[in-house]
Amino acid sequence: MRERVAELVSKASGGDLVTADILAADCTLPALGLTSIAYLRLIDLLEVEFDCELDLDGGHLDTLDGLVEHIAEQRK
Amino acid sequence: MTASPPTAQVAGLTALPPRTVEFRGARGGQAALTWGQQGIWRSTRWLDDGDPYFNLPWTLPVTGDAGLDAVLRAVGRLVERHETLRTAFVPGGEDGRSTVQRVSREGRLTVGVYEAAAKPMSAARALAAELAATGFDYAAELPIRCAVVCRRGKPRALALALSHLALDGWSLSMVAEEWPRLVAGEDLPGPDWQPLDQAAFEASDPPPGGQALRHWRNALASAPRSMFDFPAREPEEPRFVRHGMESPSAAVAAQALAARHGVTTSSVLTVACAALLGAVTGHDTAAMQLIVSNRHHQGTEAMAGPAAQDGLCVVDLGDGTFADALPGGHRSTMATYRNGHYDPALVLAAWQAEAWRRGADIDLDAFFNDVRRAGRWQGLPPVDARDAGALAALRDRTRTFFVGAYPAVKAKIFFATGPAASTCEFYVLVDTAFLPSDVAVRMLTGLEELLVLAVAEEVPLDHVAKIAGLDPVRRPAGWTEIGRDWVSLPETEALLRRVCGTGAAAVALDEGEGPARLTGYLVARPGLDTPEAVHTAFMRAAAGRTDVLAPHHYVLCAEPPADPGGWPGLPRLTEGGGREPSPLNEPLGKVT
Repeated sequence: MRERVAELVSKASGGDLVTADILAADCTLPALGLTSIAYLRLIDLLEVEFDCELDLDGGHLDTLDGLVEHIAEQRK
Repeated sequence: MTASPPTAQVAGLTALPPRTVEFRGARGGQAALTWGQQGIWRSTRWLDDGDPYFNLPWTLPVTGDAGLDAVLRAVGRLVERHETLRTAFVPGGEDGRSTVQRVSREGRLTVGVYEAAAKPMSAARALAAELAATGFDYAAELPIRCAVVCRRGKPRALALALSHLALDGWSLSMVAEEWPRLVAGEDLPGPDWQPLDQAAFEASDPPPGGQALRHWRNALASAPRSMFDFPAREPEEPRFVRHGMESPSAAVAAQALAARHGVTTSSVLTVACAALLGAVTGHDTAAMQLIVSNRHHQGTEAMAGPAAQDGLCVVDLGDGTFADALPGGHRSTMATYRNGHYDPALVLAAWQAEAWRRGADIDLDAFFNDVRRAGRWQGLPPVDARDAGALAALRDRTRTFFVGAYPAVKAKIFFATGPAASTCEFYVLVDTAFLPSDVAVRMLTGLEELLVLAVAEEVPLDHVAKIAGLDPVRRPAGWTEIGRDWVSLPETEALLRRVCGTGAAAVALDEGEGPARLTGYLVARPGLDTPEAVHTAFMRAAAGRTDVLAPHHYVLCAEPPADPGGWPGLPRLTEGGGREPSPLNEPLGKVT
């Protein structure tokens, strides 16, 4: 799932970010260069792809691993 | 549907005979207002009919060899493509009293033609301002006025005045990208999502926006009831004053802070504004409405028309440093942008329900709008923010300027970026009934000071006022903090006395265990003999006030005590919070 989420991050960025860089990054998605609107686009993509609802009021969803964990929790 | 531009008189421009553009779009129709249209429509209702405040003057260049006919064809194609440019706002709906959008399929647009003596783009800008100086008749007029400015007979610019009901900043960027292609005669694919489609989507079953409504409810419950809960002052004339700043150093510093803390520059600016506002008003939690573009949703990215709505952002500043507040502020900001698409009627009901529960109008008249394309700067000066000398030198390029003063604006403070890509273009508008106009200037220079300083060192939030040169508001004796709200106890008691009619009432502050609470004591009378009746009367009398708070508990007695301190010992006819039932909660049941 981690790889698929990284692909969607790349897609949401309009290709500005490359999947391999996203997987290798040790920083938040904004630090990697993901803009606010691309991040919001990403949340939409993730909700459709994984059929879940992501609540940004709830927690730390600004890293790749944070998103992956949150989606896994939502799908339990 | 037709439109004619008013005759414009601009120095250096000679009027030539106007031309008529006939247009015929793919469809017409009528629907409820989209939620984005409702937002702008409601704002226009604050103003007198014909007020041009929400008009957008705008200029598009005409490059190449295009002749007048080609430019006029492009104008026609533009109006045909985008239904929002053929939309009137007319009474309608099931009850005939609400306002609906009505798209005309065809019509005519009169386009002025002018010859410029020199500098056609400058002349077009002046002409656009002239065209925008008259308010639109939203029900009867096309929301676009335009004129072609020529130089030696060749079209060089299109001067436009647009209604904000038709286009927002995002839409303007879309049109700007399409314009040269339309002038070149390119046949662009039609937009596949228009406000009529958006209205149908918003009316779907189940309706979208459930999560956004939950966000609003939570944010309302945690927001101060007002950031302006302090004594008002004699307003200046005109009452609302706006100043601006261009600061490349603030942009470089904000970008460095964003990178260091793994957040966006938009979040850095939002938290900085929250910190400045909190420092002036004495709050460690700041509530601001962010203007949410709502362009990440499917369809709306390519829709011309207003999609923006206000989102409620509550920033818990805490008692640490500016850097400490950034991660939480960033999460609040992103959650707000995520939850900006909602049915305004349901949010209004939640807003009123929270006011009823809290015991005060919830005043959210602090705003922040980041209008930068994609929410970032591009092409900032290549200065390393860690080089204090270089950053300081960059500050020599900062300039501040007066923008304008207005008699009526629905905001007490309004922070906004400008669209500039290579500098921090920033604006602050203040309501001088609460803050003097020089606070707007100090907020601007203070923003730069705060950001630049935060790059070099930790900035405790309780130093922000001093750093910015801002004087925190002073609350006289009798004001106290209850939860996140500052309250004038004498004014609250005076209002309860007025409400009960007999003057026999008192308010006591209970600061025992648990959160502080107010108890209101009064003598019951016919019609005012239950806590619910008293609460209703108090809330009505307190409408619009930011200094009073309804008692959390009402105690009704048969007669006043012999001495003013004797209320608690009197026999009680009835008592209670007066909050149940709340008729305003009903609409919330619609959303699951």
